[in-house]
Amino acid sequence: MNHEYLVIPRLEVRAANAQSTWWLINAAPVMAANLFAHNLGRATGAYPQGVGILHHDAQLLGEVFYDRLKPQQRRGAVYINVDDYSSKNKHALSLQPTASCHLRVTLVLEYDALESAPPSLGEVNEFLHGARLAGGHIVSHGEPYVAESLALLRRLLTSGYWIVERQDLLASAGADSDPLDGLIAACGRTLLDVDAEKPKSASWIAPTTLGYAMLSDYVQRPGTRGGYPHAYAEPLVGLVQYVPLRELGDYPPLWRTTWPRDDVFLITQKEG
Amino acid sequence: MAAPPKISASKEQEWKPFTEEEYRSVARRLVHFSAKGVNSNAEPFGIRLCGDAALALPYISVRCLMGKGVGVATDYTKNTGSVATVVKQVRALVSGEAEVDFDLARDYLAAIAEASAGAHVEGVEQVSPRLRQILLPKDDSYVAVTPLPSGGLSREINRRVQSHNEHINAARKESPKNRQVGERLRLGSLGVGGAKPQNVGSLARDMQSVLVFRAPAENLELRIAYAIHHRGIRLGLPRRFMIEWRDWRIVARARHDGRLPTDMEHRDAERDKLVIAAHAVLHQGERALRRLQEHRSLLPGGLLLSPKLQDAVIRGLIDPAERGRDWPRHFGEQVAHAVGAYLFPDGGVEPLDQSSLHQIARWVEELAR
Repeated sequence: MNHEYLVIPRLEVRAANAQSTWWLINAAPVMAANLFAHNLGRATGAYPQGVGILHHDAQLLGEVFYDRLKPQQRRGAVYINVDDYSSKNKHALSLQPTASCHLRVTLVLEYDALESAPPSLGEVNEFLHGARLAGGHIVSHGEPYVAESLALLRRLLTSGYWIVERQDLLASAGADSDPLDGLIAACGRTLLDVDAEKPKSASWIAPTTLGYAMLSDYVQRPGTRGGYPHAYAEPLVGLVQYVPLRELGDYPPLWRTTWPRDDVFLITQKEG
Repeated sequence: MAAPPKISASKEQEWKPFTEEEYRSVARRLVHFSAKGVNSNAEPFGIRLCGDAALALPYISVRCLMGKGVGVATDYTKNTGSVATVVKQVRALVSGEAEVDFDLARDYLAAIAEASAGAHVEGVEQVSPRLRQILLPKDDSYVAVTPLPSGGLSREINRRVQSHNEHINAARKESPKNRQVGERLRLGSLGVGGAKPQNVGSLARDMQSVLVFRAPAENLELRIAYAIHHRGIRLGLPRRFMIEWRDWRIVARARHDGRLPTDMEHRDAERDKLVIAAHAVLHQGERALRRLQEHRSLLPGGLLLSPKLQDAVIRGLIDPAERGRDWPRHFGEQVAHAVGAYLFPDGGVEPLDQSSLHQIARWVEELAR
């Protein structure tokens, strides 16, 4: 299988959404990056088969008081009707709680050269011109390029942290535990047993949304985007780790979308 | 003798009795997920799951926790009338804290359990424009998906995280030197529900507490220092000075029938121009040295320059301690070579003969000594 890699280096994203789900603030927009790549596919006609996220820098926007982050609020309620006005100030729209971050990431998109070659760089640049990542503005980026082989890709990428799936750590709070215990143990570093094959360090572990599970059937409901079948859902949160580029032998770690069940959408790095 | 202090009547939570039908009616409409957690102005909408929604997948979510036998609390979709009080009492009954006659509590609990068994959808068919919709690619088309929050899941997460953090604090106090104790999880606050969180739900305050995870930051200055440590710097002649030098030569030649005079006046003028450029190169070395010194403690082996960097001229340019007796001569030769080979923006070079190159090398060498 001949793979080629479209690299979009150093995307500078301003005010991206940092609220991965209602209970979680992070700077790991894995879901957004995958859907961004899908959107690039829509715009250029060439859909990538996998997405690698090479993280460089992130800055959560907010202030810390007594060890608690108070995110900068920047989002007024969308004006639907009079209900959206603040109850305290009738001249202002109320705020919607939000959390944002600035990001610098490199995206690596994998294409199967035989099935779907990468888009032309002109098309990519045109797409990037007005594109957003996780709702944030892309204010600048490096010149996109195509690496025609894995070997070439490895020579060209020089720094950063891969965002790697660490679902294995969820099992590390013990046999009777549930994934929430696993999250707390992994992020709180009270792991019982860390898989020795993966990078030894348990640092830079973060939970993030890796999928959605439906709560209702797909139904044509009034008011849905594009008239598509609609369902209510809940986010599925898993664990990822930021692993320094040079420490990860087997790379790039690529995310792929999958529907293991009709009512479950997942983004995973597992093969098959 | 002073009068005894007045004890104001404490706000005792009086148990206001509701009928079994009222408990049933409220319990039937309790939900796991509520739209008001997204936007308190959204029309009331909620979903309650039943047992067969359990998912055996390793993720944190209500359905996945159900798959592990862990249930989360339900809540009302809209705060009207006495719903909030009823829900409070329902919770008290379920947890066994209600101060109610045992048989009565048992009957109530049975009614509540019966009413809240099974799945339930509360609210209208239309998707509120105040809710988010994400398009997910499915089967060559898309589905629109609206994620909903669960106050009950927030409560469960907060409970366990608080317990973990308290455990860490206690362990740290006990053995402050022990680094294996673990880490506290960081928290943040979001103003869900604004001034009246109870209008979002009785569990809205739990939704106000969020987990926060940071990501690595990039230290560009440090990366530049590493780059200089491993690869040195280029010997770069500043464009402005080079252009000035060439322009001067062009003018001088034009004034003297196409030949550059070699009298002292012209030689001094040319030397001055080139020495400025050479100064700038030396200055680049100084800047590189400062960068390295700032991060010295982080450089491999504590060495300013990597042993693998073999170019003696560059090493000496950056670190004066590396300059041997011959360094100024070699430096002069390299600068002269660079001047002769300098590619101007219009693509031209200023050709120099050997004796000119030697002369320039000597000027620069003098400067560097």
